[in-house]
Amino acid sequence: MIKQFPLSFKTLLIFFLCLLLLGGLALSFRGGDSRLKDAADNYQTGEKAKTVAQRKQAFNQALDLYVALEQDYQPQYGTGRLYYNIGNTYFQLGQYGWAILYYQRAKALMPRADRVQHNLAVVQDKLSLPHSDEKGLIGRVFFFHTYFSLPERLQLFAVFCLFTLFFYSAYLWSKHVWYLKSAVVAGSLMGIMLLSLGYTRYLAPLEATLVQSTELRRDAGEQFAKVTQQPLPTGMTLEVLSILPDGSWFKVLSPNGELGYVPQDAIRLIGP
Amino acid sequence: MVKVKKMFQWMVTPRSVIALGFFWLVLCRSLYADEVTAFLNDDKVVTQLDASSIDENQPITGSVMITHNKNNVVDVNSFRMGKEPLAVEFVKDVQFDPNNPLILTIYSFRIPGKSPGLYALPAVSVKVGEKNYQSVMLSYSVQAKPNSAATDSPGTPSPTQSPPSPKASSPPSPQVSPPSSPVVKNPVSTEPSLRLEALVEGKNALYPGQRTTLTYRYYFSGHIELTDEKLPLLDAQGMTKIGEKEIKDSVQGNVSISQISQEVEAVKPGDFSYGPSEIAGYAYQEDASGKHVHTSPKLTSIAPPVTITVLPFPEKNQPTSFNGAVGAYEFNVTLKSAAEINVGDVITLVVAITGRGNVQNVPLPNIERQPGFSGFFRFNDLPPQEEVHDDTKTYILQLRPLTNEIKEIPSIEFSYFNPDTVDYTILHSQAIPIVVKTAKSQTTSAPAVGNVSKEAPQPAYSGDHSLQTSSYAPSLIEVEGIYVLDAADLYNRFGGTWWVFGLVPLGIGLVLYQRYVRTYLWQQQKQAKVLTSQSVLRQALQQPEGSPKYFEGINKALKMALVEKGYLSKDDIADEKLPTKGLCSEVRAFLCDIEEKRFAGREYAGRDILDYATVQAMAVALLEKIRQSHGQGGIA
Repeated sequence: MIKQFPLSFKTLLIFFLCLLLLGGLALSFRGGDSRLKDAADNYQTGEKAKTVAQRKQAFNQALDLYVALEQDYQPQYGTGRLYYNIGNTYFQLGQYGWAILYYQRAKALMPRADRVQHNLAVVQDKLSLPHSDEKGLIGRVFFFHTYFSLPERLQLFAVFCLFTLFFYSAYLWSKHVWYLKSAVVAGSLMGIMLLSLGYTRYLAPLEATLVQSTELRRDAGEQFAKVTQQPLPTGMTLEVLSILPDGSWFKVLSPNGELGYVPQDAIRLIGP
Repeated sequence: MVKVKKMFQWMVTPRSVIALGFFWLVLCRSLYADEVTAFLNDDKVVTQLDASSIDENQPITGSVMITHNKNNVVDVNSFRMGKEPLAVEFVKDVQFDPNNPLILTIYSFRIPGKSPGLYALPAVSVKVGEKNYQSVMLSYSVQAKPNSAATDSPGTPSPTQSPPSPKASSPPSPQVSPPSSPVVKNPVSTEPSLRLEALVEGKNALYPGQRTTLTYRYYFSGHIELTDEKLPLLDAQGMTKIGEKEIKDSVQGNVSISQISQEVEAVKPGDFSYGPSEIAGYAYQEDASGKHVHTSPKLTSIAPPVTITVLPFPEKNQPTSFNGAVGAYEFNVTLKSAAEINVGDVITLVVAITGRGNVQNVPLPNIERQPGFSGFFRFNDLPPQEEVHDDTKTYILQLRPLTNEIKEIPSIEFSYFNPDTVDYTILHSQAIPIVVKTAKSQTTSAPAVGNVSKEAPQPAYSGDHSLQTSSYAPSLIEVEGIYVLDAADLYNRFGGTWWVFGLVPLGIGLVLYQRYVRTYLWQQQKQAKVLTSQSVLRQALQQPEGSPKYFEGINKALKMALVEKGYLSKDDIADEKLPTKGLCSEVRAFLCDIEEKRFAGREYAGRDILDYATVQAMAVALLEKIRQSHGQGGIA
């Protein structure tokens, strides 16, 4: 007895056409925003300003626009260029802690951009903070983990996934062994990307930047004793171990290995 | 065994009994003599409480027994309990021996009643002759009345029991219990007890920035296993803890004392109440296996709340420069760098604050806002370097002169609040003369700065200088420029979010679907193969004679038969392409003949073109012939 198709070719075709249509529509709606140009104009005005007051005013206007754009669009898996521009604007206004935060965010999305590395180094030098670009053996072997940003790795995963599907489908119909081998190669690459993404998602330390200098406390409260005599400097990157349910205090590990709590208003997470 | 029996027999003889008795008497006499000698050798003071059990809030009576030479007079006015004078009443003198000058003088005293708990009775000192003598401290327990405390043990006296009268508890006769050493009977020495005390060691009223110490004291006798501890004092909500908790253990008499202290710093004005605090536990003994066996009902002690008041700084006479320094300080500012510099060069100032108070946290005066600085100096963005040595805190700060009009580093004002005098004190440093020049390079390569010095208004030591500062030329741009953004920069990357993981189930679904389709098609092919030439012919002959399906079926059946026997590789071959040899040739001729007759023209009109019975018979015969043949190894 021949079984009946649960889904006919025609239905399947319509389904995929609808998917493509929706994707196309979504992309077509990605219009620009007039504030981009205004922000860039203000920034350039700030660069060309003759006085501190003019510069401050222009950069503040640029910052307002950039921050509004960030809040409206939240491109946490985007190109990172908006974050870089915000970092630059903060830098011009002397807000070095915030500048480092946004450069770090931009660096996470643009790991190969020299501009970001350079500007981050400049602001770190200003705050006498160490540069932390050293890669260990594991970092060199699994270069792709740091060479590609998280969105890029997700895109690569998607591409490898589609390749695997394509080659395996071809193999199913033609039984040509080269298709199977190609599918295995694409599947392996997809698996590697999956491991990298899994590490990022579940195992990688959560990092945050201090946007203002703060004391490291033994427990979550101003009444608790300080862990270190000197406050943690602005711009320092810390490993976040946990966050209180109300989000008011972060339990962190400093680069020197000191464990303690910092208040929420002094720290911001780098990643999404 | 025999030896033991002989020894026992010897011991029970009358002579041996007398000998052992004599030996016993000598031994006891010698021991007694040692004790008496030890007791009488020196003057001694012993305190003793009268009652073995003291009820709460009942006056406590006791006696002081002084063993001394009758020639040394006891100074009745010199009695002190701890540091406080103690009123005593003479009871009597007892002489040990008419030939011995030593006498025992007994005085009675009375102290106010106390709430239930364990207490330490301070040492009692008295002047005898020319010397001061002191008893040892001892502990005592005040029992709660059964109807007043939830923590009473079942053995406490009933409420109807009258409190002990001071007169009824006369001091014991020395003949009855002559103290052989300065040992005082401790009414609680055999009863486990537990008491918690919460206190502030220092001031209860503070100003922000002042420190005090919060302390818990555990008094306990015996082994206590604590089960509950509520110690809000150690959390010190609203205060900043300074350092770690400090724990001290000590023993006084039969009472062990554990003290936990935490230094705190007041932060904000307000009343901060901590408590009540509570501890509870059980007295225990260890059995042979080391396990704790509770030997008492649950012991609980509650300490009343402790309140600390943090006072706001008085607004009256508060200087504008005051920024929270509390204590008493001295203030000094020195110039660490050269006094002759160019515009924009770094000046390093050392601000040293010395004094008593919370030196470590004393803040730097807000110099940027002080007259003469705003608009004339640019301060480093980074916080100043801090150092603390002993009672001096040093700030090292850097600033840059913005104009050559500057002739001195102005006097810096520092003010602090003195909690002892409850007043503010304002200190001023000496102005430090400096020479600021305009470097040649600055006038040529950085005209903006030069312009500033010319265009800048004459420094005024009051008013808002922010606008003046803002008119200076900005510094160079140190970072690379921004990106020109487009719409793509505002959105997440396409396929760059975690949603791409949706491709995995989609892909798996597609693969499964394809496998399903493939199986479906394979089954179809398989079924098609199951059809034999005979069945096809049978189906064809069942079609209406002369219909297309009739002829197609015959055609298909014969070709299938050829395929089945290996004469052909496939059955969809055209009739004209069939081989011209053997059975294939016969089939070809038959099929071509049929086709020719089917599509014949007018020349055949009126003739019976096709005899379907003949066609059928020929087709069946031809098929059978093919089937009966041996087939062909090679395929055409």
